[in-house]
Amino acid sequence: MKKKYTIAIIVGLYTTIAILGCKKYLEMKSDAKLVIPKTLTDAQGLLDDATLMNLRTTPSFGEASSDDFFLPPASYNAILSRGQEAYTWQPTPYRYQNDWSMGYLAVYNSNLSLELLNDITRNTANAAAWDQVKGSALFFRAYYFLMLNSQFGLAYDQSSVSDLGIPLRLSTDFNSPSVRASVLGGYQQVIDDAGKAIDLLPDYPQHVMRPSKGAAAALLSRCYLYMHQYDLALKYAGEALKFNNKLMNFNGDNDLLALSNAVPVKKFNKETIWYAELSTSFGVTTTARIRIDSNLYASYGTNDLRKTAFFKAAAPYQQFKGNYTGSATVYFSGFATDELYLNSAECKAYLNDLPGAMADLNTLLKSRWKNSVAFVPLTAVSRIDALDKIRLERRKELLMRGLRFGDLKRYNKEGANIILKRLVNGKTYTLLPNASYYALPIPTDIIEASGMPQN
Amino acid sequence: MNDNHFNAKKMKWNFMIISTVIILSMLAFFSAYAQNPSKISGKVTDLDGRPVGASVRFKGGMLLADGKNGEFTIPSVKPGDTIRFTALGYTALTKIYRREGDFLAIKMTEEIKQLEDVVAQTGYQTVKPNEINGTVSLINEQALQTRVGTNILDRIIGQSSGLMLQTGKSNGNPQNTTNLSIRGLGTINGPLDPLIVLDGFIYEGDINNINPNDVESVSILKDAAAASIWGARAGNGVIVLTSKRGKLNQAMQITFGASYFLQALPKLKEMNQLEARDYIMVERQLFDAGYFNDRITTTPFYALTPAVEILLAMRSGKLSGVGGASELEALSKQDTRQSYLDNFYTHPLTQQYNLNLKGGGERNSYLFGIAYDRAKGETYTTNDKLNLHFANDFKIVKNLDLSTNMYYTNSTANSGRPAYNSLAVGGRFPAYLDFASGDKLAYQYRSAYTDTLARGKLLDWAYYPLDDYKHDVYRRKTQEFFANAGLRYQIMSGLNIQLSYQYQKQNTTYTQTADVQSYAARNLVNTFSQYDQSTGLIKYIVPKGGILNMDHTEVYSHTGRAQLNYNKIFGLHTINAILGAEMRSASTSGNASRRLGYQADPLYFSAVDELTAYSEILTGNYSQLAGNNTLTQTDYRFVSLYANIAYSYKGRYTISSSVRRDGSNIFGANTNDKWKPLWSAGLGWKLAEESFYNLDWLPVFTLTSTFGYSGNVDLSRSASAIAGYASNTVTGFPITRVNTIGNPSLRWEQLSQLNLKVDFELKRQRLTGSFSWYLKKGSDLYGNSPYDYTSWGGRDDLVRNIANMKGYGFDLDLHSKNIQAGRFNWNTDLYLSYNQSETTEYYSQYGGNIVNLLSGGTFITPVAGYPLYSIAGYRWGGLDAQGNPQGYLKGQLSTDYNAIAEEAGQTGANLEYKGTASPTYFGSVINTFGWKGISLSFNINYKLGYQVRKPALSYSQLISNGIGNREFASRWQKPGDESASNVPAFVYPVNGNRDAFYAGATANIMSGDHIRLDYIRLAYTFSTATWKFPFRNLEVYTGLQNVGILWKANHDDYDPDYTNVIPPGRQLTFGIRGSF
Repeated sequence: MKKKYTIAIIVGLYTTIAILGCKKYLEMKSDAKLVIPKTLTDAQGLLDDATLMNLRTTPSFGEASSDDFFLPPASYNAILSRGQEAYTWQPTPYRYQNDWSMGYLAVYNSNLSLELLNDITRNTANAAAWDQVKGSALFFRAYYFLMLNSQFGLAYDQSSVSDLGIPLRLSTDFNSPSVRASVLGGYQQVIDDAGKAIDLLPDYPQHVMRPSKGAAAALLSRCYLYMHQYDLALKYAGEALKFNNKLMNFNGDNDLLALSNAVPVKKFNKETIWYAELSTSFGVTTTARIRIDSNLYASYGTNDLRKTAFFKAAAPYQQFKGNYTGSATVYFSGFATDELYLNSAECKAYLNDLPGAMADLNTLLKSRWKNSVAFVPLTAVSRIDALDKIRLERRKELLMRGLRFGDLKRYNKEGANIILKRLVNGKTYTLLPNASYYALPIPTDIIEASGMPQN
Repeated sequence: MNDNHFNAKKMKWNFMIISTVIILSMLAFFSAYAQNPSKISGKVTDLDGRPVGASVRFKGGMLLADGKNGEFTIPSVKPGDTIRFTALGYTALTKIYRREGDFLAIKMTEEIKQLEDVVAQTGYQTVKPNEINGTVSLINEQALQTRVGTNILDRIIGQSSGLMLQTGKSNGNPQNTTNLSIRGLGTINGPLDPLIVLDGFIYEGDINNINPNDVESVSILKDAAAASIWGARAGNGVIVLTSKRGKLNQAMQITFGASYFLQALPKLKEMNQLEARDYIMVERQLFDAGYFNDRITTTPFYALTPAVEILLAMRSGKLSGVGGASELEALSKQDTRQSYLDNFYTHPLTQQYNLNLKGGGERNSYLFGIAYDRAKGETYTTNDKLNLHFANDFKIVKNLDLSTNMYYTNSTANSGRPAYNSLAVGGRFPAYLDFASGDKLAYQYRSAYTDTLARGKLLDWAYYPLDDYKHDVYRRKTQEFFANAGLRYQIMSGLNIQLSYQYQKQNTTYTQTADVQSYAARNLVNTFSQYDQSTGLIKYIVPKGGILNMDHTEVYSHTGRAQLNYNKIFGLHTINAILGAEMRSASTSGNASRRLGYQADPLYFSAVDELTAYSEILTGNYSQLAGNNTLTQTDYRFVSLYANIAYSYKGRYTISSSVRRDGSNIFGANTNDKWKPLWSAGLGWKLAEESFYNLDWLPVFTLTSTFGYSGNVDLSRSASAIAGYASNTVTGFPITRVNTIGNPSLRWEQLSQLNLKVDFELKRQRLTGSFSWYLKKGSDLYGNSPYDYTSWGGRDDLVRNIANMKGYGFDLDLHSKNIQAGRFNWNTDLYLSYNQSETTEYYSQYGGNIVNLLSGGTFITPVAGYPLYSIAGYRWGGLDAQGNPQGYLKGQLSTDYNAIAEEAGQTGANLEYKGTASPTYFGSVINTFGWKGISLSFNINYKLGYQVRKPALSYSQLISNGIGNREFASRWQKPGDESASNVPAFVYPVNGNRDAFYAGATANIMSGDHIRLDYIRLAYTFSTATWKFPFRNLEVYTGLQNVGILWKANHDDYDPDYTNVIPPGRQLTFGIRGSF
């Protein structure tokens, strides 16, 4: 009898201990580095992940399809078929990993941060940090929507209301299907997000990889330029320049090394408002392979210091040395003051303020000019003349920065009639103005998985 | 399996078929019982004086006496008569009677191949295999000694059915380390390794740390009933290792062993490589086409291969056409493979020593074991390992036992010389390298460029292949300690409680020391050197000195268990039950660091600036010194409750059942998902014990059937969006990165298994064996399902419970004593397994097409209706008149590879399914012959019914990194070749789609079927009585392992197990073991 009690007690005791004890026991975190994002710090951390948000993530399929460079036959033959097809504007089936995945990963991080904010009350103690997260998240989302929309959608015009743009994912729920919004819808979302971001972001960032008021204004300036809304593009270029209007003097600047160096311009220099880099789509734009369009190179004056700073000879052509990334192999795609001067100049010209336009342009050019030789300011006799000069200078200053493709689309919509040609192994490929291919192909696996229409 | 259908004749016929395969003849014992009045008497004892129940035979096998308690009496014996003593577990002894008197004291020596009580371990219970319903394969010590190796898992290969070493197969799950599979697959994306249990506790250390000579037996738990006691992690089967222990009332026994394994040089010459002359021809063609121009003009500092340097010198006029040609001719006579063999390779040699002391008194027993291994690898790598083992059992008071176990392992591994193709020249792998003493290798940069850079003020930037490995050394040091203690208290008759606890700790430290002379250190210093053109001064960002990388990991685990055991016989009823609870935690913490400017003596390192970006001297690019500081901490916890009950009636009918509930702290899961209940049930029937059973020749015939669930939990899967924390090296801001997005619908994988088994035994155990058939069904299996990554660009697929699978097959084990005639015996062990797996459902919009099976078959690819490892290929249309490979497009021959790939993806009509890539039939046949003290055994294993893809020549790879394939020699070269060759012509520019088509074509799929002679072993056991040794027993042995392929179906020169790597060379073993 006694023994039976003992058994009962032992069995009872130890099962109770086992069951009660394990609840606490199992609450231990299995990996100390892991977290389910919840806090403001977590949200800021998502946006500070420069590897996913800034570095080599800006869509570059467009750059690979533009005309600032060409591939000599040996380079063309050496690249993979996908790259060859992209280079010659042949619709190429391509899959993960690509501009789309990288862009939407940044969009996901932005959306997740915004969703986390829903559960974090803004109060006086956390107001600055809270606003910073919200502003940054909206900025990043706007930036990637803008760049994806301009790459995968047709250029902005009156039919943008119905032209297919990109899916505007505003939440992290992966069960909600992707639907392509209109091109116009995309631009409106960018304006909406970036407009809100301006009010929330700080005047100056702690690091140029974080967005700021100036960066959001620069983003809006670029966006309105794509929408041919020159007054607003001008307004926001001015807003951005209020925070930073510095230009590097190519004759000597602490952000520059000897211009003949392999990489003369320092990273995170004074012109950089927000730092981002182009992705490396299809391996087409690899520095060692591409050569700069000979006519473009020839357009730099003898005393234009950029001729030394940006290029080095790779006989019989010229090779690009890169500019604001501190690397010859990585291309800058963020916002810098030089772009804003050019935006401003172009808008003023468009709005018939020719002296203002040329003044902006000359401010920039003077900083690039050899100071031992007198700088002769450029002048324009007409609006067309001004626009031509400004657009040429825009191309010369902003080459290989992921902007040319958008500019080509924009100019062609205004009737510039720029026909792109590639001569490859005796065969000429042509991309006609306003061709439907200007809305570049969407990744094959995305089309398969989402059922969205391909371009 | 109904006795009404039991048909003895049919069974006999089946048996005949099987036996003809393995048994050439069978002889029976003839025995006669004789009881005559005694003339002499005697006693047989072991060396410690304990009685041995021996059989005493006289003149041609006539049994004179069957000694009970060791005592025997023999009738009339004449001097000169031969008397033979045999006893199970002892070396047979022959004695010539010399009129020594009428009492003979015979001392018999225990055999090393001890046949002790055959018991299987489930880790929670010790059971006799015929007393449980589950399917357990037992590998005893004798079998563990036949295949040599320093890793216990090496020794069980081929010693059980259902167990297969899957070389080179994976599903990419990082938790796989063993490549072993038990009864095929039970998961698609989950972990594939069986659970390893040592002395009742889950073993999570490095399996190499277990001394194989310390292991007494290995039990392999195959079916759900056997494995479900291990719960959620037993889905892939369980391997239970049981170590040796001392015994009560046993005099001290010392056993020792020493062995050497000497392996042949690897057959580097069989590596897939272009011949030097062809390689140079390709480089020349690329050079002429301008392939290297970009590199030469835009990055003049990057290394060029020797042939390209010569071609460049010829082009620039620095070398005459004749001079260049003769230099190229000289290169074409060199062979990289030979250079590696001559300079970096050696015969691997392993030495193994062990010593065991064991014994016991009235109240305690002990074992002390020490083992030392030293291995030199084929590239002069070294590995030293010391194992210590202490085991003690105490009877503290009546009813209370204590047993303790302690293990300690210390091992050190050092890197050796460069392995084949580890040295590149500017990222390419020329076939004509020659490493001569003092020679520089154009490893990364051109010396023509680096020598003059910064006016030659930099450190020497050359790479010296014959010296560098001496200055750049990797070392791994591991220390493992674990100890367990168990208390057992007998509460009342049949009921005891057992409390046990185990602590395990493993420290591993990796260090890479690249001293100041190493290329790695010089390269880093030079790269960041800041040269001031005007002053000519160099500023060092990386201090001159070596590099020390350290990575330290500490694993510790605690397991506590309380278990009630109940064994009771009430008349005809037997109850055998356990009830237990277990808690386990396994923590890992790690830290890694890098020190620059390091020197060992006097010990010193420098602080460096890791935050500022500096211009690299060659490229001008700005970069930061990559820091290498990491901290990790993981902590996995498990709680389990389990019970197991078996009830048997008359020992004839057994029903059994087990339940188990597991919980763990899987991150992101809510508590309900953390718990998983699993159960199993079984029925057993010893048919041979029924009164109506009258098959004398088949004294054991048992049927069992079990069914149960086991699970698979993958700790890396999660139900919530989980992010990791890190720091951005540029901004210094903390960053949060989402690794897995929220997937709240994720459930545990579940695996059910039905098992039917027959155990049988012929009279006198002439033939014993078992046949089991099983059906596994996996549901809710994890799978990577492609999704619209617009929602998250981090991956292009998501893990979901999307697949169901089934696996089925049978395992046959046969052990036959073919001949036992006097001093000659011949035994055969045969293992035959059949296994098929199939994805039954795969909920994926795009996973349905066999286009997914175009990859190598080395990766699990779920496509509904097809095996998990399977291979399909593009229908092959041969080469066309230009040497282009042809496939089919809309039923017509085509070379539009893009369109062919598209059609394959859409309809799959131009694809051909070739079969499973995992052997369907596999197993081994081990024959052992014994004559006097000589024993000869050999193991033939076979894998049949599967396909492998052979490595195909890829011109894209050949041009972009210079990796070739010997097929190149037989490529299409001129019209007409298409009738003899399947290898496409070399065209430049290369077409990647053409390469991909060719690689995927059925022309490159071959049968993997083969039969291999795994090992031959020859041993001689000294009869210690004859030799008058101080030993109880002594054995010397020699063997040859990895002997070679006896037959294979393909005629392509490929070993199907090693299509992409060098097959292991033959290994010669010799050794000695004994005891006194």
